[in-house]
Amino acid sequence: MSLKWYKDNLKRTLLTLGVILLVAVALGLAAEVWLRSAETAPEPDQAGLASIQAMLSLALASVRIVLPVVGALVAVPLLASRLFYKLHATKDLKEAHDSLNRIVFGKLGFGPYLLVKEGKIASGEDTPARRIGGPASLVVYNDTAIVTEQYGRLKRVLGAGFPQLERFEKVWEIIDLRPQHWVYEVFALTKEGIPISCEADILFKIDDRFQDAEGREQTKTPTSEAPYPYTEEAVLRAATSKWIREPDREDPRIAWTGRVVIGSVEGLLRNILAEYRLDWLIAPPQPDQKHPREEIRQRLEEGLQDGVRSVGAKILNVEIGAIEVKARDKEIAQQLSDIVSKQWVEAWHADWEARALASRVEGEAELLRMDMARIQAQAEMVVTLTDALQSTVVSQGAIEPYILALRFVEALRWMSYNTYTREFMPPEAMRTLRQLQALLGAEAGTPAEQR
Amino acid sequence: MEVQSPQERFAKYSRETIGGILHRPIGCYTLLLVLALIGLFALHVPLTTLLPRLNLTEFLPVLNILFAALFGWVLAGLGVCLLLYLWLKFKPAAVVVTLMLAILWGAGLARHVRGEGTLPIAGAVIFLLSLVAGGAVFLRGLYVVSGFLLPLPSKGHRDKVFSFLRDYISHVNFPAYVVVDELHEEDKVEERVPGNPFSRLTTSPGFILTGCDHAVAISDGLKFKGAKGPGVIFTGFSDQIVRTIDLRPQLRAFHVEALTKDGIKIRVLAFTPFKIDARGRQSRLGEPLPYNKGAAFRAIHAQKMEHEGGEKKQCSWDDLPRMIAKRTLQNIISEYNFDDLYGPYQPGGKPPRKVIAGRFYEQVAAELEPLGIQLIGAGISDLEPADPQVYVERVRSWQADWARKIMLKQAEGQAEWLRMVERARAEAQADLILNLGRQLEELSTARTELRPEVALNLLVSILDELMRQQPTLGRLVPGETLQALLGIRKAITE
Repeated sequence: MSLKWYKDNLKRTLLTLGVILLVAVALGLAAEVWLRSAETAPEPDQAGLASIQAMLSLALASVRIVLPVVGALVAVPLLASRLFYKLHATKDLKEAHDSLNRIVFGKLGFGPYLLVKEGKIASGEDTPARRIGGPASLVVYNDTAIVTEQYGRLKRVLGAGFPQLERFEKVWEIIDLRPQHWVYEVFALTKEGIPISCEADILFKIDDRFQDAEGREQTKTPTSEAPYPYTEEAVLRAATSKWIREPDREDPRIAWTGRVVIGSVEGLLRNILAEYRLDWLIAPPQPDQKHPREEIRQRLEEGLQDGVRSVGAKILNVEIGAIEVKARDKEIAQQLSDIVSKQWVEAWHADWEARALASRVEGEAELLRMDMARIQAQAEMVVTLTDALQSTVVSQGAIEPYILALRFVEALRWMSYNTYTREFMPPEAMRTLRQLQALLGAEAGTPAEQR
Repeated sequence: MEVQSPQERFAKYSRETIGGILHRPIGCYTLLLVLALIGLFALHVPLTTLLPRLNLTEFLPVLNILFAALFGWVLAGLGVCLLLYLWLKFKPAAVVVTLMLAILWGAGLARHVRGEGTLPIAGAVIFLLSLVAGGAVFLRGLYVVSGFLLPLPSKGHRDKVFSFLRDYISHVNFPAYVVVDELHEEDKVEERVPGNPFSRLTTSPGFILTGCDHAVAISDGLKFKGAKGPGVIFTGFSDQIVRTIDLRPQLRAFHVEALTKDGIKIRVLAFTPFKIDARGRQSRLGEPLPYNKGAAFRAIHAQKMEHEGGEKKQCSWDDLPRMIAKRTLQNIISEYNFDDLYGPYQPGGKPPRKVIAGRFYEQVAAELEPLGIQLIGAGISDLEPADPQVYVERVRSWQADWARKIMLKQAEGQAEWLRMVERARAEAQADLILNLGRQLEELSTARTELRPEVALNLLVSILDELMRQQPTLGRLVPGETLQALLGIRKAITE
């Protein structure tokens, strides 16, 4: 028990009530002594028990005289407490009296006190310190800051320690200084109006940036005493940025944390996503391009850094989750999911089919198909060459070996001039063809020259 | 209900009674006074026995008077404590004890009034003076305590509170209200001290207590007295709270259904954060949450009577942004075709939703400003078709686009196959030509003259050989071609 918590109350009580009573009793005693002295002669030789009896009799008689004063000293706090009880809705009259006494004379002991940690009142929620205010003690942990009010005004920002609440000073708002992590699903529409959803993963805290004497922005460093640094301005901003919503809502109050996430993140991310088409959001990145998600994440982080300052917050990290086609309506969401899943599978299948077709060319099975293609080509060749010879035989009527050989070589040359075939014709085959023509002494040029 | 063990119950009882005695004024001072009484007694007894032994009996009366004063002081203090305790905890016992003490005091007075004793008049006067002193202490005490009953920053209004306390004791006071931070308007004002706002007997004001985040609009029915507070607000004859004004930012979110220019119904969630206009002032320590009293007056007076199905009710000032915003948003959306709300083929610039949100904010802010309401920042969520089936259609359109892409991919595969066939054809021709080249080379090595008959024979034999090597070829080559080939061979041989 520390005397310092009692000193103020003792001093004030003794100097007011004590003095009033002492003066009253002294006057009453003087009057009683005077009245007694007029009635009987003093007995100075009384000693021992008789003396004590005389003294007590005198004391009680003097108290009897001042009973109206005693009554007044009872009536005043009693009546005032009765009004106080009604006005401040204390639990009972006794609590009202205790509170009023504390307000008038000061605290007796350390209590009442509020233990504030982890962003909330951990102990003392039902005490007069919470409902009426000070004088009272606070125990504030280093993970929490408090904004108080007094006389209908914002009073001060209190941090870790054992601050004392003044008369009628109340805790108005409590701010959790620890980093806050929220994962929030944002529903948005793509550029072409397709509903999508994306999880935003945000880590933020109360702002700890300040401007030094030279106007440069500095950040407070965490220490063992203040592991969660903050600025008073940021705490005040956070405390006064609470939004009040319709009373019938499930969440009728939106604190600063909610404003960061619902107010800033949701709106900003929705705006960013609306600039992208669905394929851009989900398609794999081009080799020289960032993944759209990373780009969106960066844009969101940059936008938030500025946006949340007004609510006293600072963004530590931003991540975004998978972007998927999703509507709020469950039935529609299911339909969309089915269509999109099916489409992705088809696209994937087509891609694989194309790759498989290409790879099959090099596969063993494909070699067989290649042989078939070759035989087919040979058959076409035989037909073409035979037709060429046959038409020569029919038109000439007689067999001229020279003409037939020349016709044969010409047909071969014509075939080799096919645009598609020529691409794959080896150069030595072409050389051989020219050589053969030279051997036969042909005068014919290329088909183009002949034309 | 939580079940407590006997130890816990004892600990709780101990904490609330003996353990907490030092923290409660009555308990603490009673304890101190009892200790003082014991101390005085312990000091007085040895002194009264010691002084005669030291032959200092002449000091005994003085000592007794001194101790009597101290004993009287302590006993009076104990009396105050015990009587107060009884009044606070056991009222019937307190009434009995108070009556007994009154009788005791009255008996003393009566004794002197009856003329008993040597100085009856003086005695009666002393008793009556004591009564006067008690009255003075009572009145002065109440006056002093009045300065501590309300959260007032200075003692300037102590007179008003004192007169209220006096009227409260006389039951002729005006009511006293406290504005609490409840959700519904009807729960926000608590009449903590009942009273009659039309009392003609009262000489004191009533009052309203609010926190730093609430003001109140007051009217006496004839005259609107304006927005007052936060803090302690004194009220006069027939003053009533018209309504409370929450000075914190308010957020109203609501769905708006609107028709586009081409007649498609859409649904959008709009939100309007606002507060009573503070002319740009920010919250600061040492001040209540900022607001402009003129703006509050305008906002309260803009509250309309709404008629719904034969019933009417007054809308609240914080409903105004919703009402105005709804109409404004419907007007804006009606200027757009449905497809323009998303701008899928818009090459750049702001997305239409952002443009609409910007216009929405500007127009609503402009309409609310004359009503004393400051729009902090309005916005809209996604512009959703009222019929969500539209989403399915959109996704189907997206799917069609993908189907085209898939076809392109498949066509690429087919093209690859065609290229492969052409390559095979070229290879077949090349084989034939190279084979021909090889045979010519052989003839050249054998120094055989290349006559046309030889060359023709060579060419036809290569075709024959090709037919022999590839039995499948025979099935593919038409019968007429085979016949023609045979004919040519025969003709060459002949």
